Amino acid sequence: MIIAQSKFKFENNNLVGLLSGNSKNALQLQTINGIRYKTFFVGAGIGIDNYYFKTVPLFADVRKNIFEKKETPFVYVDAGTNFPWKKDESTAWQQTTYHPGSYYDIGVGYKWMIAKQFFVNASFGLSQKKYSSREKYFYTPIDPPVPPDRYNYRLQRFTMKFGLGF
Amino acid sequence: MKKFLLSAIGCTAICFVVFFLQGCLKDKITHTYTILRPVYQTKEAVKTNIKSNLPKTIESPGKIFIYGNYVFLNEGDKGVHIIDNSNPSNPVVKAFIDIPGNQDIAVKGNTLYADMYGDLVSIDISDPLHAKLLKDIPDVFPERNYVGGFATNNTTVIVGWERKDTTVEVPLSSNKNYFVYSVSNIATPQLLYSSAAANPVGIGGSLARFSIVNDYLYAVDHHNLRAVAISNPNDLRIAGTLFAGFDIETIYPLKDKLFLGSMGGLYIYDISNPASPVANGNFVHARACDPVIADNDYAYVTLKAGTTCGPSNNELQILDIKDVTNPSLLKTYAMTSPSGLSKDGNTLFVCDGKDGLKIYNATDYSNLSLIKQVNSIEPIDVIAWSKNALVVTKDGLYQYDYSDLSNIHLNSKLTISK
Repeated sequence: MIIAQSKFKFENNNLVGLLSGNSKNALQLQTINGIRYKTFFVGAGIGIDNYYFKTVPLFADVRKNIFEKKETPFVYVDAGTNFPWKKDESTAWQQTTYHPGSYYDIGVGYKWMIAKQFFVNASFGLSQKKYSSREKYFYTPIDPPVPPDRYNYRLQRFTMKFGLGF
Repeated sequence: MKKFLLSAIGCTAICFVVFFLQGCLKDKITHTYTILRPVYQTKEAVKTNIKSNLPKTIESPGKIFIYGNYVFLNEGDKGVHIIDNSNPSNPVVKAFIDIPGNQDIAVKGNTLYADMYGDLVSIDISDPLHAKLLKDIPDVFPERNYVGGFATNNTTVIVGWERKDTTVEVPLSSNKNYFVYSVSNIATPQLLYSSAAANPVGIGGSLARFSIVNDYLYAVDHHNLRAVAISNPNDLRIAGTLFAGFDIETIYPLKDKLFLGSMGGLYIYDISNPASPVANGNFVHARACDPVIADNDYAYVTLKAGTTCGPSNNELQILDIKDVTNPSLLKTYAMTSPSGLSKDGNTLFVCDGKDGLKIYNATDYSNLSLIKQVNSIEPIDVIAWSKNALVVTKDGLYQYDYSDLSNIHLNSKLTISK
């Protein structure tokens, strides 16, 4: 009896990493789930990014193993949306609302098996996240009508991640 | 061994990249803000245009005043809409009186009183569609002679603003700077009751800072109470000014008393001698924004917390004012974000922010029962009069028929242009 094994396989990868850029170094966490087909992986991920301002990136993840081996270097590309952790905050003087922006991360890494089903991987890459804010100040006269100030943030950093998956 | 060497080389390479090439990364923050420059006009030219002009669309509804079949609706810092409300189901904007810097209004007889920045103007509205300026007194409200950092004077008036958006890059670690403008509030004329006298007064909302009682207009700014003699609309005279308290917001008349709502409490003034109000009593509450209305026995105060109003709770307070020298708290009701309120008989109307308009049976102050809640609007102020509630909201003027309390329904709406 021949049992055909599916070539598509579910894969999970949970990562913790360090973000390093112009601002203070910060931690990030990610979990990525998707489908592996031979050397290709496509999935979706979500994370917590503490660099400068806490955000939640939600992204598509594409990976390519260089070799068709269990231990192999790989390249990856993440792209998606970066959501602020909080939507708004107020003080006696002003109200700030936060708005999502784009997110991407590209890099290289190495993957190796530690048990039959489990693997670890380490990667290094370049990441960028964007978001914006609107600041409305309460002590403004009726006239002139003062529209909210707008801030746009573009934050670039190196990212080093270590992950455990199956 | 080979793997170890490869790993060590890899880590070293990564450290090299991070350490030496970090400078190639660039975080960027841009700050976009609006620069406003005043547009001036001579006061003589401005005064020439203080009359009934062509109607304009409502864009920024402010204080409201009812007079007969007309509703006068302030357009923030621009003037007054004259609305023919003879048919509340079909109100029609008939004219607009251009008054730069106008924030408050009141009416007595055939005269409309309005602020124009620091000035008080009187306008003949015997024919509302052909209103004309009677008198202009400068420096009645000196706080308002400074607007957004610019000073007006007796020869020029700010009639508009040129806007220019500007974008600058700011350092990553900079504290964001913002401009704090002084908020200059002008007393708004407000009348609660209609008199059968020869010169009846109109009816204002609870957020008013003007109030007309007989031949005097009382106006509050942040700290002061002013009495202006208006027996002759062509000859307005300041009768007196006194320090009334801190952070005064609203004024409400009842018989020979004035109820002043402030961020710190309620102040009651006796105006038996109308030119010289005398402090009569007060009730202190935690810091909050505080419109107030009253009937013979009770004062109804909404406290709005948060933002500039202070950290207190959002609530409706009912005070016993049978002894006005010693008002006392009777009952508190939790609210969401209350502002203006109004009462007609035993029916109490409370504007409660995103929770909409709440209409209560207030026969028993200790047990207000909710008759209806209109969630579809975000009301700011309300005047309940003659079974028709006029509600100023963020997007216009709504009118609700409450002649049948079991069937309170929308009569009409005038919404802002977008």
